[in-house]
Amino acid sequence: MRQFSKGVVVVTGTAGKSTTTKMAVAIVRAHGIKTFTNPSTANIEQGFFSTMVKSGTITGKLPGEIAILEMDEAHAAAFVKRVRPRISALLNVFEDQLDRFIDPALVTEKLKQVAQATTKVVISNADDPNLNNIGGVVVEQVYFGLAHGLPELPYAKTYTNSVKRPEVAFEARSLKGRDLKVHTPFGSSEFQLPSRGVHFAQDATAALAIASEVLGDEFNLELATKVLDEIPPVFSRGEIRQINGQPVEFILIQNPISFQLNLDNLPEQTGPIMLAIGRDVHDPSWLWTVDLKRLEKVAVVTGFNYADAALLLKYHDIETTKIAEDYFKAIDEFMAISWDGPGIKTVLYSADAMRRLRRYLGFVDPEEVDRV
Amino acid sequence: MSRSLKFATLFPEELNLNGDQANLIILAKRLSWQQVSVDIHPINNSRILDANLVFVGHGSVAAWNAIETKEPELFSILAELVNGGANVFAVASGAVRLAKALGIEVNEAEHRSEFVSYEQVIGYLNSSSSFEPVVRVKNSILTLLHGPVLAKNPVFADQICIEAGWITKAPEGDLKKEIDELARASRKIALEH
Repeated sequence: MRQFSKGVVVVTGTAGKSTTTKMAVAIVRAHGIKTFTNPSTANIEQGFFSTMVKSGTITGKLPGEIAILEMDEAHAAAFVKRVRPRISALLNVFEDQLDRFIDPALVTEKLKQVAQATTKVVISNADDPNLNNIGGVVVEQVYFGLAHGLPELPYAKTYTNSVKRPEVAFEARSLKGRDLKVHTPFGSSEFQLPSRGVHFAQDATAALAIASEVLGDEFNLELATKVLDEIPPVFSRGEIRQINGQPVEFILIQNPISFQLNLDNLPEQTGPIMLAIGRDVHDPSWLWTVDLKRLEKVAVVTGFNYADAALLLKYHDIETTKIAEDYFKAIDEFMAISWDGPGIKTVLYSADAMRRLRRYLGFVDPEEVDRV
Repeated sequence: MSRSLKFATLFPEELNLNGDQANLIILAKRLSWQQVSVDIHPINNSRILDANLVFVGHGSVAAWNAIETKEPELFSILAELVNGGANVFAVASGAVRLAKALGIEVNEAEHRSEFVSYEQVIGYLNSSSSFEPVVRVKNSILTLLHGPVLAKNPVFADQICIEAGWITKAPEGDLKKEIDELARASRKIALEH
């Protein structure tokens, strides 16, 4: 990894790693910098190193002047012990994967280790009380955030007296639908997000901060704005595909926060919904932390954890048309539903359910996602 | 509804880290099938009102620090309630704290993060505390299991209601059958993980 002349950037935190990384990489590449990155499906060490093997030359050389890598929180902490990043971006700490992490404070500790190993700049979320006073960081810190008045994100609570919000260099100032305005040290940037939701506004703001630190004096805000205005969504983050001649939206729900935010950001009217909770949800308890008021009716509930998902819906009096143990049969039945609107058919699925569905329907290229 | 009950839940915003508060929704739903209504009262201090059930959920380290700073006497009051014969249901870190207040020996053991089956109760154990996954003290139940334990364990849920005298027999009906069949499937899947 030391061969990258412009160093290594690590993007980590509970949520938004894939979108932020994809946006930052697109901006940096648009400036003519050859950039190595890992696909979002390879953000743990094992997947990451297999990506390196696939991408490297026979002599082990990886392509690119810089590596911008998204990394799972625990694996990022292990990675930086071997490779110190020049820049790190700490996105957020939400209550997630508690079967693995036990307590949000332990996640914060992992991110602190990443920050302390960073050699040039730590880019942090000014609004997250877990991160805006992390301590022990000796290099420059640059903050991004959402302006007062924008919806607040439900970070893991610290229950401590809030510290003064650090000075924010990159701030999302307004969000109307998907139209976002970001204030930066280089001026104002206005563009349309690829997907709905304030969490995507946070990702885009963080991406601008990362790209500007990577590029330094070469950073061109106009070019960065154009890239963000045109970038397609990361697959399954509001991706829309035509199936059986009908549009279907695919939304990945990886944890309580992404389930909650994606439910809250569903359009006023949706078509039939399929909820698929796969084997990756080791402990489905977290499903019960989500406020389901936006979910009035579910057409199909399925996936390896179909029974837990169905119990959740039944105990909350949410009308459920079909409970299906056989996932592929459930996919076929859902895709066969004829729907003329209002709204479009929507799939909410966990990572394992996503992978299985994509393979089953032949969506093999994760980059093949159109912007709508 | 022919009868109404009052459930008190302590610091529900803080003590819901794994969806623990859902246990009250599950009890209330199952009781409603037998015409028993439930009012759930959030309690954010140690002045616990006279309730048919007091529930203590599971919180983060930060949440417990905040609660125990604000209400240092909370668990001695709860221990008195338990010893006085009240119905207290505590899960995970709430159960560990209550066990200590009741004088139950709680040692540190190797951390476990997995589904476990204990005396017909199946649930997720994510703890390094040593006592048994389900402990009964007078009319109270302490479980190391976290989250919506009762969703997977409808027999246990009904047993709590019967032993408390809120109902005389397990509920019946099509919805109950459907939900209990899903719980059976969920238990099977949990042990396959």
